[in-house]
Amino acid sequence: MKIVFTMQGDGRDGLMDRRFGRAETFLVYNSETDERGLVANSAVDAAMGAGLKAAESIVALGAVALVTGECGVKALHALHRAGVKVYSTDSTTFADALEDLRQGNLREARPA
Amino acid sequence: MRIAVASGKGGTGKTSVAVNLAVIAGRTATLVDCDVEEPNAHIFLKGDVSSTDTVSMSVPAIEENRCTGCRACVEFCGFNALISFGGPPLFFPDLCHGCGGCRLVCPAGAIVEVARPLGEVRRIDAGRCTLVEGCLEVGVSSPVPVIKAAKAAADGDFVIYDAPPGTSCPLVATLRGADYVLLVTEPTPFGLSDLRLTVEVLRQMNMEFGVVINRSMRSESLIHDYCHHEAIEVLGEIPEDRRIAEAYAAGRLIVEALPGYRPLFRSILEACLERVTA
Amino acid sequence: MKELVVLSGKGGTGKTSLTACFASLAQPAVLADCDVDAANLHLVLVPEAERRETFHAGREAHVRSEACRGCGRCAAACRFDAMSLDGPSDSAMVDPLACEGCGVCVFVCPADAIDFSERMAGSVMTSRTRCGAMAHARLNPGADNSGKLVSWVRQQARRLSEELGCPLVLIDGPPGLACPTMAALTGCSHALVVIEPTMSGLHDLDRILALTRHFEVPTSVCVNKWDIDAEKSAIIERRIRATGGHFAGRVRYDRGVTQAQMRARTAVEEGAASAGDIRSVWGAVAERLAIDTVDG
Ligand code: SF4
Ligand code: SF4
Repeated sequence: MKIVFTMQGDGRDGLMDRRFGRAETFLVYNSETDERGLVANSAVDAAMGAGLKAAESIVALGAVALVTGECGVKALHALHRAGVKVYSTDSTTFADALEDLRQGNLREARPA
Repeated sequence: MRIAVASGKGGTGKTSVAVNLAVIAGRTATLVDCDVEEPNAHIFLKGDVSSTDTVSMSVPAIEENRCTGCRACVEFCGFNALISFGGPPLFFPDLCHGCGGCRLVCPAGAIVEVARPLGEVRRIDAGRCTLVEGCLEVGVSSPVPVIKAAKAAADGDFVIYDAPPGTSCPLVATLRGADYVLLVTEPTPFGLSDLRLTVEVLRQMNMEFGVVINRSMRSESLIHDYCHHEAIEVLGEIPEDRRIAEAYAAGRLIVEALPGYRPLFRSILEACLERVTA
Repeated sequence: MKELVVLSGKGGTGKTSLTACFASLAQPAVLADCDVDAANLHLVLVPEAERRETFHAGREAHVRSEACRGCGRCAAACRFDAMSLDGPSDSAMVDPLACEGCGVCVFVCPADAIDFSERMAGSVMTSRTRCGAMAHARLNPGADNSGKLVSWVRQQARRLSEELGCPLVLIDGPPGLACPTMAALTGCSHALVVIEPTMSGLHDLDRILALTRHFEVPTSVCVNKWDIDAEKSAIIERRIRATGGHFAGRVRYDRGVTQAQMRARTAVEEGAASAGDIRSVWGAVAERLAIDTVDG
């Protein structure tokens, strides 16, 4: 299963970006093979609706879940419709966030 | 005759100048509150609402049984109001500008247009003058159609537009069609900086305009120097007076709470009229 | 690193003057001027730009007059009245102030005569000031502040704070409650709302508090020019305390603030009459900021 994490910069430092739509990089983690890939987020430059554009990419990447700091209401709604689970985390690193996800410590965000 | 009262930022006393001028102009005047995101002229001009009209915009609705999921509409929409996960797109009205492009490009004829309410235009009989107020619904991000509708609802011979703050689309939409613009500013570096930006927009639009200095201090020549240099006329100065701030805080008109100021507002109004007829 | 955003309902409540004072009290802080429509922080802090880039937002139509046949389809299709054929030439003309950049004209033009390029919206800068590093922007007239621009300014400020090892980013937020304000607020450690004791101030307060609650940002409120209406100031203070909010204090009406502005200095630097009030508000907010970290 593919899970996407939102990362700062080009993602190589392993630092999470709290933002979803305007995070520069998505880290795509494959939970079966433990593989990780980095993908640039093309929505960063949208004047408006960055979160929605990013949601589209998440689904196009074939992810089943997203781990990020905060996800706007519109994007949350869209991801919910697409069957992607959204988890919010306060962790600053990918490693911590992944560990929390494995332990079941992350809160699932749902549209109101 | 249409006069717009504008200022670069909020808090310069623009609304205060607009309502006081409208009251001085009298019963036949109409004030249009074009600050539809935060209309507050009604705080000063109370009265009964005589009519309310809904303002709406055409937005797309997707007929899912006709949609082939081709994404043509999604690719077209530059505002990211449509997104698709493969099937029929999802529509996010907050982001839609109502351009109608998605319907034009859809090869399957799967998009129709429906009306989305954006806000209201209310007519208020305030006794001393008429108030037309545009009010944007909370959560709606397109003020321009509501501004246009509010302006269209003002039918009197003498109309004052209370413009929204800022220098972007809402201001431009308000100023269009005005015969004269009164810029309200403060004699501070902040005030001057915002005034400059607004003047740039007005010049780009080829509008006639003049300046009113609010909270004016005799000792301060900042705005005068700028206006002199730019050949902009100063039509009046409202002095720094704590009683004015207090009247404003209490929701009272200056010309009623402090009648000594009536001649000042009358002279500003007359100066505007002269410039328009000249 | 913590981010404090200073907000107000309407503009003109003294938000920027207070932010500038906090900048001189909080050193070292990195400053982010996200009030891009009425960017005024630079007038007090006088930044020296070190880096400058152009900023693009959205798109804009341009008619290539030599290719235009003057058929008028663009003008008929444009819902923003931005295209006209009554100019001096025979070709269609775009009014750049009315064009919203939707691209309908580009689609309907049978002669392919309309270019659809990125719109130059202004420039974005990082600078040095006497109170710390600063990220800010300048918009072209008629251009809109946007979530994208605010996010950019914040991101630059965060980068500066990491480079300089500076623990606090101080954000001068945009007025109103729209997209730019949300972009300035989201993910902040704390918000300070500056409100005036007026009818419209009271009206704005509830709306802005609803927004900070929605974004789950802990919020303090201070009243500026409290003595203009002592009664309303008391109402605001009571209302904040009754709802369990944090009331950070009152700042008096002080013409010294404007006088300081004239000299491109902050009221605190000039020792204006309200300087003590401002210090005590800052003290209360700084204390909250520290508490928030322990909790978070
Ligand atoms: S009407 Fe225009 S702005 Fe609205 S969804 Fe369609 S293409 Fe996008
Ligand atoms: S253009 Fe028409 S058919 Fe294609 S995805 Fe959009 S609504 Fe569906």
